[in-house]
Amino acid sequence: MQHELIDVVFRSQKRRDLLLLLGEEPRTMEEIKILLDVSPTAILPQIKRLTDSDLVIQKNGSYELTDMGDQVFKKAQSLVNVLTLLERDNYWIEHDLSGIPNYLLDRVGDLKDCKLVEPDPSQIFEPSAELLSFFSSSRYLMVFSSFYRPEFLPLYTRLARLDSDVTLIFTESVLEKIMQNYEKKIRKLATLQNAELFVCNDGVKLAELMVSDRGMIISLFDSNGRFYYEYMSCSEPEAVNWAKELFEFYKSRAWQIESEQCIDNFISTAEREAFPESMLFSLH
Amino acid sequence: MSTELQLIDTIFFSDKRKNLLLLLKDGPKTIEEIKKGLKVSSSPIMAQIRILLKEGLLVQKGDRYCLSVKGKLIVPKMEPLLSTFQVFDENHDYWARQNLRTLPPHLLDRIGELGSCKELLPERTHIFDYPPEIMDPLYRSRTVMEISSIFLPGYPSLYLDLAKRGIEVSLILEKPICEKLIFDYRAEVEEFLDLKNTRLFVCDHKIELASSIVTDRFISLSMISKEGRYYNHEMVSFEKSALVWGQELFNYYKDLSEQITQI
Repeated sequence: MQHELIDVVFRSQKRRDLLLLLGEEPRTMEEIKILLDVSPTAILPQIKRLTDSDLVIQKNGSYELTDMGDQVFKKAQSLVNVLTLLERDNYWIEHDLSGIPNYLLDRVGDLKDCKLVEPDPSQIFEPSAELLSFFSSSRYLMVFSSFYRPEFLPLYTRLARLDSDVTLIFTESVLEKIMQNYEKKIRKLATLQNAELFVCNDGVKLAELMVSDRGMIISLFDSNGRFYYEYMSCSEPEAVNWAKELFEFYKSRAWQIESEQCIDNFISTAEREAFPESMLFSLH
Repeated sequence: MSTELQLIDTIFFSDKRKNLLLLLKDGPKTIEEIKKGLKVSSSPIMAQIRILLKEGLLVQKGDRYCLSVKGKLIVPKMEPLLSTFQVFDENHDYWARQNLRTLPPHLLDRIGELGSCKELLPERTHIFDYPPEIMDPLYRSRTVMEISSIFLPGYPSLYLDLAKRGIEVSLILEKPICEKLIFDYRAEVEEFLDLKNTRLFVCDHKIELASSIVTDRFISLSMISKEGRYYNHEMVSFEKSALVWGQELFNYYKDLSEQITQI
């Protein structure tokens, strides 16, 4: 009589960890011992249970998943990632997730290794050391921001001059304010070879998103629309890819400011305080 | 690297809680609707509701219970997991024996949609025929689609007979099988192709499955084992989600095939 797979996979944390470990790649006993920090006597009975259940086989001195084990792994991983994300931090359930499209919300478990970063109160109004290191010498940088942070403009320009690809998306009101105060700078930036500037409508439910080869950071509004100076940050590839896709989602719904002409138009419409129909877009 | 994950106990190790979460996935429910949906009495289910409220998986809105944000992130992941595990549990040895990679990857990932399956074997005296349990639903179907990389001697007469009775019959055959069929049964194939309600496709790619029948009543799969062995059997499901799955399997191979209208 076979045991039910749910018991095989979830009744023991050791078996669950083992299944998730072998889902990455086949492993020898030595590697299992080190990676799971277990003794052979503790893990062998669990390996036996997984092999008896046809989820794992031993091949050429290492353990690997069977076809059935691989399917079980995929389904378990997708759930475990979300559970891990939710148990590690309440950030996600305390913030407004409605700015994240469903297909990415479905993969929110990719962000499970994100850490909460709370800036030092004395630094709140200047670029933090972490952010500066995040920007420095990146080969590419993607920034979505619904905040007016003029102190970052020189950083963007410098990066773009260093041959890094810089893509920026600002909300209308942020871009308007930048135009008012730093028109020359933003004109220069928008026309640089490696820089792209986009604008999207106000009211987007995403505070900030930055992706570079250093990693990703995301900050969301809380459930009441308030914002605190904290963000989630991660450098794992799954999280970075997730963030890139979210950025692409917003970029595909934004309007590119690609020439001096566009900037002139933007300024003149902004002065009339009304956007022409073509510049409006809807998120959903 | 590992987190303890208390929530696993909460969501999986009580059937009542598990079923309640899956029920609320479809929308908020009152206690009366929950009792009816899960066929339970008040007090035992209230105890489980309280646990789920405390764990933050449910919220109460007026007289209704619904999934919280947390619940909405978790429950959609439970369903494919539970259905996959159920399919494997019901016929564990069968799935362990087969080469699952003979299914297109996107459909293997959705194997849970097959739902409750049963393995049927032909009678010993009719080892090359379909098991008797599927002959009846086969003849009651309005459409019959078959994908095959094996040759059963019963094929030509069976499919011609089904088509003559007005059932829409579509066949996708791997190239060598199709050639054999045309060579050995030319008259039957011509008669089959002359009917309006028939389609024949030839697949130039390897069809890794032994065969699959997809109708508007059931789907059956016949797979090849890891050692490359085949025995005559049909793994059959009558569930709605399985029929959709089967239609996609047919479409997948149809897109790799060319239709033959005359020989």
